[in-house]
Amino acid sequence: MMEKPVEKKPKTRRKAEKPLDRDKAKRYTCIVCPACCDLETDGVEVNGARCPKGEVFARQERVAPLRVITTTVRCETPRGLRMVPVKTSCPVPLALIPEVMKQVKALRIPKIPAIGTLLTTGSSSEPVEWVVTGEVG
Amino acid sequence: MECCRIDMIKHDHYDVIIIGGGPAGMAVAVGASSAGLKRILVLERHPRLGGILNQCIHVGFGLRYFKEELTGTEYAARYKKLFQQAGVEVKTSSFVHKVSDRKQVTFVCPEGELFVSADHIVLATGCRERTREMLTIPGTRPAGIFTAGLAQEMVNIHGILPGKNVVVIGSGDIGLIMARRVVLEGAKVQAVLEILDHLSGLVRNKIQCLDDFGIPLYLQHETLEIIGKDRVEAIRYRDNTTGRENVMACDTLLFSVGLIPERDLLIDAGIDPGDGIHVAGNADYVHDLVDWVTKDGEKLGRSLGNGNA
Repeated sequence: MMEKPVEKKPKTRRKAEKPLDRDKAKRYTCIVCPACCDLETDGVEVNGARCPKGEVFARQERVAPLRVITTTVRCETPRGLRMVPVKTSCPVPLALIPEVMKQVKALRIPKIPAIGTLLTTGSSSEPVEWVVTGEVG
Repeated sequence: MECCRIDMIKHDHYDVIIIGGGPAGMAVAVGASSAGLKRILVLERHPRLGGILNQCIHVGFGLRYFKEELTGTEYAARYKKLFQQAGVEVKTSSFVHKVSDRKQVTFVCPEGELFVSADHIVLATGCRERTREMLTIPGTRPAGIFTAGLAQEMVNIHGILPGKNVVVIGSGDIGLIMARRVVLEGAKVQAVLEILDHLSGLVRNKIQCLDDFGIPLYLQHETLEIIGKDRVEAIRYRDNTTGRENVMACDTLLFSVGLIPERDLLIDAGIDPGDGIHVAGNADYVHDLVDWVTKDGEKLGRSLGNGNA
């Protein structure tokens, strides 16, 4: 039996607390990695982040949360229905998820695409790009 | 008519036989191969490698091992490449039903039943989900009761939505992920009920799976009874902070109440790990990240080759 590995914290230490504008400060939990840092930001300074990604996350989260959407696309093959896993190629605004899901649910592809293939939904003015994330058996 | 290619195995005795071609099994094979072992066989019951990763379409994998955020399916594809470079022999659609204390493995495959032996046998069989029966929740036995991982397979592999009005019982990660997944597919999730006073899964999953979609998490809420004749109609539950009981209407229950390492092969044979019998990945203990499963597995594989096991 092996020992349970301890969740390693990123090497950068928690930086000293910066003074925040108390009227504007909001708290978030970072969702970038499983360390789940407790963040606080006034939009400019960020406290509590163990890495720079957390600082970017907190500032963005305060303005407009962004999420990568993962779902599946229906693919009717001669051997039957196959579900093709996809994700958005970049994070999309949380508020747009229902609309983006509507688009991708209507999508049908005739042939199983290779992993990494790009698919597009939405209008030409506001396209949403998807990446195939799996090898479908 | 073209003759069928019978994909039999190459040897009757191996250095290592690995049972399970998921992340743990592939990692052990890669480790053992890197330490110089030549005759390595991976037996996988499904037609393809990857194990549970094949149904994990969500992101959150690989940050520690590949230093990049991947979906489970991407992690599987990426690791499969490393695995294929190791040149290990694989037999898919092969279900191991017996391991003997003489290090013999019996498995069923499309060609029939085969026996094979090895110096080392590694169980990389993952884990099973705890079910409603194991919790002994009283009530009827209607349709509409699923474990979260089964629902995940239904939605992500088969394209079937298990129900429209869902209650998730237990706040494990798969339950949280599936709450979001069925909402994206058009179902309503009434709530996640957790008997403990804290979340079982990761906080980041509560935020991006429940909070983002306005799904309430009720802590210290105990499910008392499942109601419904043919299909689930409701559950009766109690808020243990106040002692108040209530009924919640729903047509589907998803259970996310823990995972149990799958070691029935050893239990059935009455053998313990040690002396050439090893357990890897979630069959050893439940890991919260696949990255650690990979690292643990590779380490075990290397130790087999170096003769330290």
